[in-house]
Amino acid sequence: MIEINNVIKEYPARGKGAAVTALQGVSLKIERGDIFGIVGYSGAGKSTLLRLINGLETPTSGEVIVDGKNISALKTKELRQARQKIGMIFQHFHLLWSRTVRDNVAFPLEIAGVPKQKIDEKVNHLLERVGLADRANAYPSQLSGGQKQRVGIARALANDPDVLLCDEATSALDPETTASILQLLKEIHKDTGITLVLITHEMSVVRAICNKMAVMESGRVVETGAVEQIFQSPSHPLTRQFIYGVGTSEEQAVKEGGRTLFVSLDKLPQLAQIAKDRGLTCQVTGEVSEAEESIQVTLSGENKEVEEAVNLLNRR
Amino acid sequence: MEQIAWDQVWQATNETLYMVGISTLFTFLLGIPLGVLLVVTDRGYFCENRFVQRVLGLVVNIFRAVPFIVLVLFLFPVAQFLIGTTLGPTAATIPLIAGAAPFYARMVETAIREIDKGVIEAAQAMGASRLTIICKVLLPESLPAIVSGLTVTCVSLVSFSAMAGIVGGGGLGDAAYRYGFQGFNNGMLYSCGLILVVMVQIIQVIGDAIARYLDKR
Repeated sequence: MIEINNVIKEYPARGKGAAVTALQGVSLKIERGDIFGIVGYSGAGKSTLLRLINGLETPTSGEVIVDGKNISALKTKELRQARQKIGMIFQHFHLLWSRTVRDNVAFPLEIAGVPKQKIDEKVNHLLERVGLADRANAYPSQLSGGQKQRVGIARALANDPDVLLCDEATSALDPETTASILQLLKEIHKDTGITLVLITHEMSVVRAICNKMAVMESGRVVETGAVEQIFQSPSHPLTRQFIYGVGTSEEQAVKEGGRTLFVSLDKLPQLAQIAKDRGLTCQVTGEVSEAEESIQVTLSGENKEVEEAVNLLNRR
Repeated sequence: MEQIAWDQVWQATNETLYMVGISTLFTFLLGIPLGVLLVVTDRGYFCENRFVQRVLGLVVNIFRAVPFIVLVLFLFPVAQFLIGTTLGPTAATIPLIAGAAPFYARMVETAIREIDKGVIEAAQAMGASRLTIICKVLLPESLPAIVSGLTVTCVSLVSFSAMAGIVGGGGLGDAAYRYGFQGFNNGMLYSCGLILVVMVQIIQVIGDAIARYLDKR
């Protein structure tokens, strides 16, 4: 669905500022129907990477292919049409405050030239979908953060896109609202099979909904793969930092010679047995990740025993 | 107190309303596109063109730097060419527009710059064209500030029109000067002044009300 091949993005020097290389040769492949999480600290280049996908940024070299189209080679008009099939939601929502909820959702349909009557139908349906049918005539300033993001999602889905780009979509929301927005995204993914690409600095978001992920640092992808696998055995130090940063008790356990791992729910009884046999403490240290139906567990005790227990579990 | 010639006051009031009305209309029509251009051609906006931006900025600054009364004198030939005379309310609208439009363009520019660039990015991400972004994002989103700016401009036009009146434009400024000051008629002087004050008040109240109604933030 999305192929990013060897992309380099440089911002030329301006005035006294030196030239900046935001992406130094990034390649990624995102399959249709993936929920792909891109993680990294601010300045890692993930925002630039996301904007390459809908042509808001153009690569200095390399190519970006979305649904068979080379985005950076499209003419202005073709690019505008391609963008209608790539929805985007933002950390700060970016709604038009001068328009009602209904008219905000109608905006992309107006741009696409959809007839008035069809717009009304479609908007009603979309607002129903995101649970805001009763707020259709409210203005954004009258909504809570979570409601604003729901409007953003309805707006992004208006032209039935194949891809939805999420730019730190839950970073401005409290944990409860974050969970409800992620739930909504997951439902939409299930219903439509849309490809989701989200950037975030919160590992919990990735764990909650993504099936694949990439970790970025200073303009490079340092690790990529299936979420479960990366959580099980992170290879890059930054990835480890992200994963163990999720809860402090885990770091402690790791220091003391323990190990944190993700175990699918049906393997949990076996793990408990193994731990008991070897005199290890087995503690649940994270919440259940719904996407993977797995749970974060910390094993602590003798280093050697822990290693053996993990090996034993993986073999089953 | 001398007799106030109400028919003269009434005629002068009408002339002032006419001058301010026409020049406000044209100031709006010229100031909006000029203000939009000043923003969208600037660095980081979607029609970036540093040359156009600099030239426009320079022209606007020149008109804003010249004192209004000097601008009136400078523009006599233009009024002569366009209107056929340099006297009367219609001729006076030329310097009024030339003085107010650049001033208003700067206000429109400031209003549009207030819009979060992320909102523009969101519209681009939806596949909006430049014209759509200008008409459906930039102008509606900055409308309250654009209206407030027009109110301020309109109030300045009232006082400018009184000045233009003295150099042959007619209107309340002219009446106050000629019949009041030169004619030693304080009644005329103060009644013309009072009408100008009332006019400014009304414009301000109406302008504020519209801006408040439009503001959904």
